Amino acid sequence: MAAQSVSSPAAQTQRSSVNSGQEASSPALSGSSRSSSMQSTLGNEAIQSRIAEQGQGVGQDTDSTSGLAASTKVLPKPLPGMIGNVGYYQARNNDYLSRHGSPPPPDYYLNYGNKYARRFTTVLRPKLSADGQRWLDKAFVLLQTAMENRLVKDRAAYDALEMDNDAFRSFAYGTHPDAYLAGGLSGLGPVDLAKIASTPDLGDLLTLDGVSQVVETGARLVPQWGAQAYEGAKDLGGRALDSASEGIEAAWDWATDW
Amino acid sequence: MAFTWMMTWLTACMEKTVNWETTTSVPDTFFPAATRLVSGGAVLGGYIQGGDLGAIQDQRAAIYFWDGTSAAAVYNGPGWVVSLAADGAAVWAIAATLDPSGADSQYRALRSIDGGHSWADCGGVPGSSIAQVLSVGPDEAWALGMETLLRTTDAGQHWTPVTAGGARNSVSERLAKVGGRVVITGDGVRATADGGRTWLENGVDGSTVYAVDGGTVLARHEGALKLGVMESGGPRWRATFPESLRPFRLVVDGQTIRWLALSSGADVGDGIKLYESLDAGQTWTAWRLPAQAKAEAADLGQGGRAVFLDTRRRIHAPPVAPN
Repeated sequence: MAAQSVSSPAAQTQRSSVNSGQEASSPALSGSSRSSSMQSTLGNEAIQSRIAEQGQGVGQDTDSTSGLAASTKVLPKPLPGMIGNVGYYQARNNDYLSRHGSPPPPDYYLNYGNKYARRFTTVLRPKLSADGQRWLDKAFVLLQTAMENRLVKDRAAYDALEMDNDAFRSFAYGTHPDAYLAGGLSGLGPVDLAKIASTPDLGDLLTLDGVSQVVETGARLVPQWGAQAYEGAKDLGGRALDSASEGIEAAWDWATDW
Repeated sequence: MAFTWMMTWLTACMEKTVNWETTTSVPDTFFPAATRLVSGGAVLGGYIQGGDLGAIQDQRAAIYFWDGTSAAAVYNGPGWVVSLAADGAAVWAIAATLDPSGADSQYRALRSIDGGHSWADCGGVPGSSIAQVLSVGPDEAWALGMETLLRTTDAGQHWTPVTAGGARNSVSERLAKVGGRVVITGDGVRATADGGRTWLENGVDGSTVYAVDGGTVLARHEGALKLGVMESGGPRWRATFPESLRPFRLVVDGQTIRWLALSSGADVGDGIKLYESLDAGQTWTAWRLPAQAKAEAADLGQGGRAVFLDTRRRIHAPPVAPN
């Protein structure tokens, strides 16, 4: 159709992220997740207390004004008190549902974040060494903190991101390598690494990308450990193995074309 | 349909990982918000994460200049860098800090007029949501956020709201400078050559447009990801690609077309995809860049220039001079 025209721009209103307390709380949280926080948070008390300290003054239940025209749009609610809690992703999902009827929430919340959080903490964590458990606790917090930081930095943009499932997936998956690395993956032994790499096999979250993500990260950090982790991951799918191997043995035959 | 199948097959079976030169790295606590090729190298803006739990209060805005051999810190300030863009020697960045409530951001502009080597703080930028900046010159820059489009023509001293058709959405829209026009891609293409007073709008046949370079567009049309060439009667689609790709950079250089994309499919989170055609889009080669799986971590330029940052913060580039 290529309809080209010179338009008279429609009026555009600037707005702030004020919502005058119209944000709905996450119903499921107040009744279930919060009350069971002793069971659903990770065991590292030091991390938990530090998270609690950081959460203060981060707009947990209040909203702010920016000095621009107010909007009636309800924006995502920061949930700093939920960081480190396996119910975090369910809470984010609930918060979305409290604001939008459609489109559906990002599938990452429940199909990946929530399932992995529970799988990692209930299935994997008991099998890990003390170092492995410390890694998991920290990486778990870092993953949720990265999401929460993104929200707090620009709540209106986060709201739009949530409504774009593909973009949200890309964002969320993009936070994993950093969380794993900053969590201290490089300090883990080969046994822990292999257990981490094979965890997706425990459930329906067996995804090649998830496996390759872990294995590849480990392989790059500590090649000899990566090799052992590959052995542990072999049964998970040849493509993941191939993908990781490509990163190491990549052919470079097009450089001269540039 | 056959071509779509072919491209899917190409991606699944023939995608190879590039092995570009790695010359240096930035600190492993650096998180990129933008990577932009400039004359003599690249500029990377983002933040340094202090502490060990990722707290937003422990972030410091940081900009590095990479000259092809080493990377040097050229800016350090409060908060974090949101976006960064270059136009010749004029490089603009938007940085932010948390407002006193801790629940929203306050923005300020940073500017370099020597290609990213040195930076000056230009003062605050109004608005509660800014995600992108576009450099148009040493005195002119644009900023895009949710329901926000701003422009400065006095080196950041004042920012004026600009109106354009539709509602601004910094997640689905991109600012670009194409052929001397400021362009908003997203729901079609909107272009202005007079500072936003009037806009030329093109729906691109009802497409969601991800990137434009000259007359070439990358867009989602009727559910399929396509590359097309704009003609008087509308876009002429030249190629179809896997639907799970989400392009973010397109460079047309004579007969050579290159573009970068993230994947939301089975390989989501697994680096960045680079598609290359040396024959104006007739045949394509797919590559995987072992980069951080973020649009903020890579850039393409004319003359085969490219750069990306990997998870270990190493800077990779093809074996060509940074210029």
